Amino acid sequence: MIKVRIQFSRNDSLKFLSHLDQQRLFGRALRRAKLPLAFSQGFHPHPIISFANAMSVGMTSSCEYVDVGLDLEDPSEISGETIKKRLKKSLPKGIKILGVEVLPKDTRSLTRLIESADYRVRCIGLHVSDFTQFCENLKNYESKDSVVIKKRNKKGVEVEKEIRNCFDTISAQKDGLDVLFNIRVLPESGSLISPELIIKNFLNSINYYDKGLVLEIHREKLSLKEIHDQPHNGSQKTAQVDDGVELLSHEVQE
Amino acid sequence: MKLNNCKQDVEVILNKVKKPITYTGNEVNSVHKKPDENMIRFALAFPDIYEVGMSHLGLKILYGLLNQQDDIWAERTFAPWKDMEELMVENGIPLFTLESTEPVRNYDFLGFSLQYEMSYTNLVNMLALGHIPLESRDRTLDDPFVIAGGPGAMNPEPLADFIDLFIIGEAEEVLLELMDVYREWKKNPTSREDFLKMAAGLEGIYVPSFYTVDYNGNGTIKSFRPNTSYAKPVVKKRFVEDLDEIYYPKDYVVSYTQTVHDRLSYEIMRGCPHGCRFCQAGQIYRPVRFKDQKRIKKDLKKLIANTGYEEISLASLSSGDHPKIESLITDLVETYEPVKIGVTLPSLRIDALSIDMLGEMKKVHKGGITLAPEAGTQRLRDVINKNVKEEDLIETVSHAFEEGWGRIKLYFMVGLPTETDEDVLGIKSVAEHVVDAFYDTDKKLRNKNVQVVVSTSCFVPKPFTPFQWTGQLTTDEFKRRQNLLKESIKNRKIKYNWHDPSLSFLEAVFARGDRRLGKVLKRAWELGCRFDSWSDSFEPELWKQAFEESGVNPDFYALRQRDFDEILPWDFIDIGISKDFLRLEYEKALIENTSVNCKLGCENCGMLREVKSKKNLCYDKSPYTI
Repeated sequence: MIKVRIQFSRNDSLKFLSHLDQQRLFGRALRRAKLPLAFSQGFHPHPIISFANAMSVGMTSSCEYVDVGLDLEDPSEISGETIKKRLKKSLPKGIKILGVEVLPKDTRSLTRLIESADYRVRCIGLHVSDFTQFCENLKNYESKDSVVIKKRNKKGVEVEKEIRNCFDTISAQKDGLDVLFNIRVLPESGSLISPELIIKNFLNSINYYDKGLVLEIHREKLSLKEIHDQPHNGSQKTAQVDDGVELLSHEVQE
Repeated sequence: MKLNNCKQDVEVILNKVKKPITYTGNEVNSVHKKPDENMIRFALAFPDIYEVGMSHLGLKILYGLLNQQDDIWAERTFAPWKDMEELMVENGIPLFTLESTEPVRNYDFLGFSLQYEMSYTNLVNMLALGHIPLESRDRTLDDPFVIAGGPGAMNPEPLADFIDLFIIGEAEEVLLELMDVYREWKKNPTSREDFLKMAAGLEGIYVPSFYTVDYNGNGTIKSFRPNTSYAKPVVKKRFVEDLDEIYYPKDYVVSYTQTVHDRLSYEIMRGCPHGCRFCQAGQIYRPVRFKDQKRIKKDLKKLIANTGYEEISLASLSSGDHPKIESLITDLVETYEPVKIGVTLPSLRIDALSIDMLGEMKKVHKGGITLAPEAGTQRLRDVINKNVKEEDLIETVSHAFEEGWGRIKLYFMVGLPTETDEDVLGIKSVAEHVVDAFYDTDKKLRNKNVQVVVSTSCFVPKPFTPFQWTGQLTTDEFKRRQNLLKESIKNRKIKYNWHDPSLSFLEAVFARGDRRLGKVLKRAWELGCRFDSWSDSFEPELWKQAFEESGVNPDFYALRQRDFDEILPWDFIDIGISKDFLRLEYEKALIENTSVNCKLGCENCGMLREVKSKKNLCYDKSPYTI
């Protein structure tokens, strides 16, 4: 089995997919693309597909990664370009392939590779009377050594969680009637917390939070620790973030 | 006046609902066209949520069939779940289709699929949400034609107030003819009535407003007759003669979210040769027709390529009866096993299940096995003409256990005509014998564990069955028998599930109801009844109130034993099977006399008269005759 790493974006038209929906979508798109998929062992064999990070319902992204196992002996048997071409036809319009890299054997699994995730979070219609003061508050928040949030665990019991080590920088700007946050989230034992938690916590701390507030979360970039320097057969290595942004305004064609 | 497209309004509320993905459309293989003035806009409506409606094969066939026509755009609409409904009402958003988010009121047709009676309040609700007058007589040229078809249309009368016209029988046979008539009418769209008159000229079309019903003092029907010369006194069911020649989709819309049947269902035959006396589908889908193995393989190849599904289900009422089923399965498993696509049968008859088939299916799929003995004793199985013996069942499950399956589901019915307590307790014995069969299986072969799940539904007498005259048991009596069974089951390997009898009672009312139920349905909807088939949404008290306020006694429809000479609300429909045959079958049932299935001989149900072509129809004309 060899592995290929696919970089893709997801736009507004597919933002309501759950992680499971997206897994299903890729599984079926890969089958439609007639790629030589590798399957897991056992009674219910399924294609080997693993995403760098789950996308939550409502989220869009310019930069996601998924690793797919192919039933081939050697990476030289297929090119990233071939895979990209076939997948392009079989994926719905809301998902765009940005690059495909055929990985050398022994590459580490994706989730362990995440270095950071950059988000742009739009707070729709968030009214801020004094924006300079607001930014000042945010600066203070960012420079704190400890940020503790209350969270329900799986058993439904409320627990406290230190999250300051879960994000790096956070900033805000005004955009028409909305406020846009830029935030860099850092992984903690392989998982990323939702930027929503951080922003809501901040807004709460300055009494700006209102239950009806709608957030639109967009992942600008997932940075990986090591991407190989020698992509196969001209496949793209890094994300063309501009490309992804352009895609976001691109309506689904009828 | 056309309503505005609701795309933007919908986007705003989707953030607030539980399953937004079920309202967004745009799935792979969904059809998008550029509409112009001449295009016929057809909203295919399923009166239940997306996940249920998208599992329905008929909808996929009609979607494909209509969209093949350049000047028709068929789109889908489903019943919004309660959270969505609330937001739609709050924000003044009318019911819309998934593809174009166009309000359904702007369409030429709104066509409902009637799969079960308990979806009827959803149908009324969808009309209301669509800003379409609920009752046919109040609609104007601004409204779509509200049409309906499917097995529920075999007794269309409870919906007579709401539906402009019904398609009786298999819609793919009639729908394009109806579209031709519509194109003709649309050239000069004078009045709604004119179109309905033209449509009533087609075989298989029923326009309820063209008929007048009179009643006797005791509430039974005195007369049922056309009130215009355009309407036929008897409406004949339409059916496809040759499944190999008809249209079948080359792709299906692939949902993003998990649907109830999230797999590639493919219809390999239509109808069922067995003639179980409680079963409506077994009668109304006669004659039995098969699809050729070559056509099946060819269609599946395209469907798999275009959808990417990981499981194929060979669908029909009784797929084990396809004459080529074994070679078909072997063949398909050989083709699809290497790419890990499973092949399954949705339902199996006990006698048709062979060891080979179990083995083949197990290669890629290992869920549970579901079998339906239906009744607990041989006596009662003879009454209902379920021609399987307990030995057959035990033999089948023993094979299954040897193949390593451990979970067996058994379906039974409680309250079948002539049922005694002994029959009810027989269900327990059957389940115990299945458990015994597991322990009799070689330890090396069998699964580590065994579980037998017994499910009982409550018998509902249905139109066009030999039991159409029978009264249903009272809910109290159903409960007593369920308890009797529940308390008798001591074996921990057996799990017992049962249906709510008050829901089955309501089902029985609507299954054999007449047009006087229209006001009850409307009242129940006004009181807030929705999603009645969902046990946590079903409100028996509200229904009780609706009956009382409408002055309609539900017992009259559900519990009453009907006379043979009574005019039944569905008597004007000719499904090809004679009433005399059904009566004879009923009388045979009462003396525990069985009938043979179509494979073994012809019992002269009447269907043979209807068969024109020489191929594939009724066994004694078929190349598959055994």
